[in-house]
Amino acid sequence: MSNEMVNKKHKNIRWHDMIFNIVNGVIMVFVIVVMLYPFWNTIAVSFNDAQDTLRGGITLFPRVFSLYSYQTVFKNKLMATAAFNSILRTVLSTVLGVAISSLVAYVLSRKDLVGKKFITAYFIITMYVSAGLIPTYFLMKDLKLLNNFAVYVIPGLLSVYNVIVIKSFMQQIPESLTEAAMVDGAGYFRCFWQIVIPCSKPVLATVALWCAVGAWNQWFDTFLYASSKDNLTTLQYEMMKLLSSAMQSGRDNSSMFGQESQVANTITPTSIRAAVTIVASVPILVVYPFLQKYFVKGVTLGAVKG
Amino acid sequence: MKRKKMLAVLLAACMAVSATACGGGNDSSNDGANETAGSEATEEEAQTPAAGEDDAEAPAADAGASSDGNYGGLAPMADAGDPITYTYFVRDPGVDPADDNPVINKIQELTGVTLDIEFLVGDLDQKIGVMIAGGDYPDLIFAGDAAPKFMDAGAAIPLEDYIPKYPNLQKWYGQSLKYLEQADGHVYGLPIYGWFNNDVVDEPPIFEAGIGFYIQKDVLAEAGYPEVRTLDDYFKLIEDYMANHPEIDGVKTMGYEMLADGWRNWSLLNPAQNLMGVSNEGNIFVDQETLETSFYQSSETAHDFYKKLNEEYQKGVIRAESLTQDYDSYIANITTGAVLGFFDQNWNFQSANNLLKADGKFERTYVSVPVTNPGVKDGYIDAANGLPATNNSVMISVNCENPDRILAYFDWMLQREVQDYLQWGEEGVDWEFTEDGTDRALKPERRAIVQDTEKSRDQTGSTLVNYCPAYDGVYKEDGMPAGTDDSAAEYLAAQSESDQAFLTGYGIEYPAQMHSEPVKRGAYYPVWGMSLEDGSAAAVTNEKIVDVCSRYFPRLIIASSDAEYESLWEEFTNEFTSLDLASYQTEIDRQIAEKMAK
Amino acid sequence: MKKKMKKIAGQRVLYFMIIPCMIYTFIFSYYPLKGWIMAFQNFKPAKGYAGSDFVGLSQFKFLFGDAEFWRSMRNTLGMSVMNLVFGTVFAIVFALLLNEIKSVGFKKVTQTVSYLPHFLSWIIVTSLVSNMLASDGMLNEFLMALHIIDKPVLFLGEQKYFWWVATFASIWKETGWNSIIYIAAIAGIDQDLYEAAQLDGAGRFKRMWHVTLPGIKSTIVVLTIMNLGWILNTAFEVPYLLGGGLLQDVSQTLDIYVLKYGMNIGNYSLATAAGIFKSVISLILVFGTNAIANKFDENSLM
Repeated sequence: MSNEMVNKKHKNIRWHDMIFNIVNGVIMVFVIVVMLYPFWNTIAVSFNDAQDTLRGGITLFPRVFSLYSYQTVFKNKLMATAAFNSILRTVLSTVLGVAISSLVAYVLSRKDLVGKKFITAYFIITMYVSAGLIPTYFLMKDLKLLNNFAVYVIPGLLSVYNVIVIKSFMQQIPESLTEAAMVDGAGYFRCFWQIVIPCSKPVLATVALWCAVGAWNQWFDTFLYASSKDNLTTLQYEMMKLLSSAMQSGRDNSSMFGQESQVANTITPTSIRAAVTIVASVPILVVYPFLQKYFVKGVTLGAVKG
Repeated sequence: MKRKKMLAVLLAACMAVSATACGGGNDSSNDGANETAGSEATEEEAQTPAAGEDDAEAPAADAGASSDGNYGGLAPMADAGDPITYTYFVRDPGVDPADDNPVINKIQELTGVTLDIEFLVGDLDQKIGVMIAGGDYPDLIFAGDAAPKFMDAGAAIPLEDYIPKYPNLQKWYGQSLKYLEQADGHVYGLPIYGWFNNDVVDEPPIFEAGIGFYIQKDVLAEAGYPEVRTLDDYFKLIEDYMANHPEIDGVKTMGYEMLADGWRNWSLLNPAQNLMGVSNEGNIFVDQETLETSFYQSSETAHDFYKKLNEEYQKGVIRAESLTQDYDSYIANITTGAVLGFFDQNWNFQSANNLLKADGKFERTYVSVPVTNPGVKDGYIDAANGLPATNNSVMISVNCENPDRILAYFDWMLQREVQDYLQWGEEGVDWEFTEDGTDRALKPERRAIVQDTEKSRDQTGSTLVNYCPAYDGVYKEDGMPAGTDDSAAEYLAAQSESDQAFLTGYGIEYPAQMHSEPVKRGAYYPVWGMSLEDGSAAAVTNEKIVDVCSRYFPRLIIASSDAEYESLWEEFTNEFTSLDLASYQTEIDRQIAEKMAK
Repeated sequence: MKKKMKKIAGQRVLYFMIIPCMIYTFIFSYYPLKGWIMAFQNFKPAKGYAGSDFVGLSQFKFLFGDAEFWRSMRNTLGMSVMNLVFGTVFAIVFALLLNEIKSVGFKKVTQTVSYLPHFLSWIIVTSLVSNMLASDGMLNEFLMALHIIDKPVLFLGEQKYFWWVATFASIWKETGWNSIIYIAAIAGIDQDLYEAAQLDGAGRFKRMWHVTLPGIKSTIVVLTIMNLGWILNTAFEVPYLLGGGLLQDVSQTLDIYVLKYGMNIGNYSLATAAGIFKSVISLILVFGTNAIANKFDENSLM
């Protein structure tokens, strides 16, 4: 191959690259616009006067600015307790969830594990069977988890879905790495800690995100297992409470058979829902940039080897 | 979705209001401490702070004493110095009143009783399912429609032996006890709203119809306040107005709007029964004379009604979008003032109505007109039949350690003075008598509080009135209204000039007078209030009826030709009649007979 | 045999790690399954398992004998398959394209924005969707401006559009979120492989095709198999919120059906029976596809 030909080929590639970059950039800008809109719109609605929002047509900016929906949200006397519980459960669920899932995933990713097929199937089946509401309630009751903070952490410790995702990632790690370590006398645990975990950072970051968002967004367990204790309330539960009462209040002050009482509600479901969405999601959105560096930058196995 | 249930919820919520209407002082006058708004209670109040600072001691000292240390003449309960808390599950969503709610704090101080209310968040059926399965009941339960589930599960204690021991409870419930008896002969709950026969109050007046075919007031005004009796009258008025006003305030005029969004589906499913002369009955038509049941969904009336809507659709009076719009767009459309008519329930479009008023467009607000089949007497408005509904009851659970104390508390709450304080507030400060002294109305500041859900919750005793036994109606002793919703003076004071001009146009006092006199229904009424056994064939059919109808009715309305309409109708009636209708009908017949026999 | 025992002994650390987790799983997932007995009863919460009447298979007979149940099955399968196929494809393509962005800042912003809609509740998204599809909504105006149509199309009034509407609503909401795992998988590919490919003179597409895709293949396979198992569970909110009345024939899913005839009328037994039915189908699908996948690639589910 002459130099000239190589140059020509490279030129072609650069030319293609440029077109690709432009097209790709345009697509991504489109994605940003389309994906940002719903959230942006929700922010606009949350800052708009509730009554005025009923008229419809709020798109990018509030028409009649009002902080009332936020005031309603923050007026709640349980907000501090709720936020504390939500943060605590999120931190615990994430740390423990990632630790346990990665441990199980590591074991299941060992090729020569005796009984591997059985054990894996044993876990997988649980993803697709569910006892239902009442039997699960009985279980929590039997385990003394009702009205107990532990109910926010313990039942969700082990997510099989996460285990399988991590496992499939770990299986990609070249066996030569771990084998070499084992030959050097490292045990399974050291292998796990010093080689497998560092190589799995991107997937662990993903699973951490899933655990955190999952724990943060949960309100159903508060509703079923801890609703009678104010000190166990969670942020999402308080938000749900506020939202359902806003949905109710339209009905509250009227009468099907009597007269119309002229209630002017200063809150409406749409406005409260918008404010609640922002209040409940912003704290968890903050987590993302911390994890993001693990996926944006790739892993270089050479670094681990050396 | 579950229409029967939703309606029950609504009715419950609605009736709560007629019993409610919120009382209590305004905050300056009675948060126990500070300055009082120059009320005559000043001197007494000056002593109250002592009680406020130390409830354990002061009220006990006051207990036997005269009204000296009491607030506004309310006598504290004997054991007010011994605080007790009752947990209370309520099947409505809601928010706790503010910690500094002056009225609730005052009542707490005078009684020593705190209600720790858990409002519903999430799905009621799920909550109740686990509560019953686990036997984990709070002290008090208000379950609405689901009350029978708790009663059947043995969750509630029998009350019939307690009630006669408490004079106010006896006066209020005594006459009605036999209607509250369950199959096992026990009474498990005290109704907390709805009017029924008793020794204290007469039935409340009715000012407006709560459901019906609504029409914009200006449509009627422009046509010279005509009588509107039939569907043809109704749509003729709308069409004429539309022709004269293709646009209203720059928005294209919308003749007749519909809403079939999830469980808000009554404009699609219900009207045929109203055309046949009943009110909001349920999934079956009950002939008011013979009590024979039949299915209005597949009747001649329904055929003609949907045919009429089909014609209006073809003419463009009903927009295509109307059948698929969600609730938010429906409300947004009404707020423009460009919608001329719709079938709805009052509370459902109230937010839009309020906005029209706020914009000063009073002539664009709506009124319900008595549309029926030609020659049929309209029956949109129900008079109270004097019978209590078990489902409206607060129950005391088997887990409650001290049922006597809470019953004593309810009894205490049913004193006239306490009720006036809770529902109206203080005389002269919050409300005053009318000039002729036969009625009373709120002062404007107080009205503003009562009309705002949040303020009323945080500044008045509305939560207590909603969820404890409370009087509703007109007091027998002096003809005064028990709640603000029972007062004609209060109703009229809240009407705008435009509204009053409209009433004058028709020569009536209240909008309800456009309809026939309220109808007193039989003891069985209404069908939607009957509980069907969980998972029974009747319950399944009840769901199926809604399902089949909501699938076919919209298609009938948008049918493109008469032939298509007729063939669809035939398809519908075939599918409808192939349902297990008998199981539902037999069950309803059985319950009607059972209730009428009492 | 002896050899095997020896091997197990050598792996005792592994068992020490996994056995507590198996016990935990037994307690939280297998033990409560005794509640499945409800499916064969006419269960009443007040009576408990012991006191409720046995009714044999009548709950299953009700399900399988109801035309509405089968219609719900069809809708669920239709929408789920579309959702799974388009959802996966969009997420992967998005991850691939994102990976090609050179500017780290732009990449981070795009990715962060893309998963925002995940945090909105469905009711917010569906109400935006219905605004957009209204006759005076963005889509109709756009199509009319381009003269593709001459009068507004009622997108939410015609059955033929509904599955597409539902599918694109969930793509809008979830693509960014679903792509995170693929982005992580791409990040896990050994960077040396890219360098090697570049030295071989492979261009953009070649590298994508020969390095990136094979690198995330097993993630794709594993996720797809797992999600396939939930094919009867998905698509709840969109049909519920957007598909009433006119659209009910094509919008009612299995979960809505179970809600109506199970939970809503207090029939826990029916809900349990439907749950068992779904579990059986799920397990068949998962283990079936896994067996097929194993024939092509050893790195599948197990």
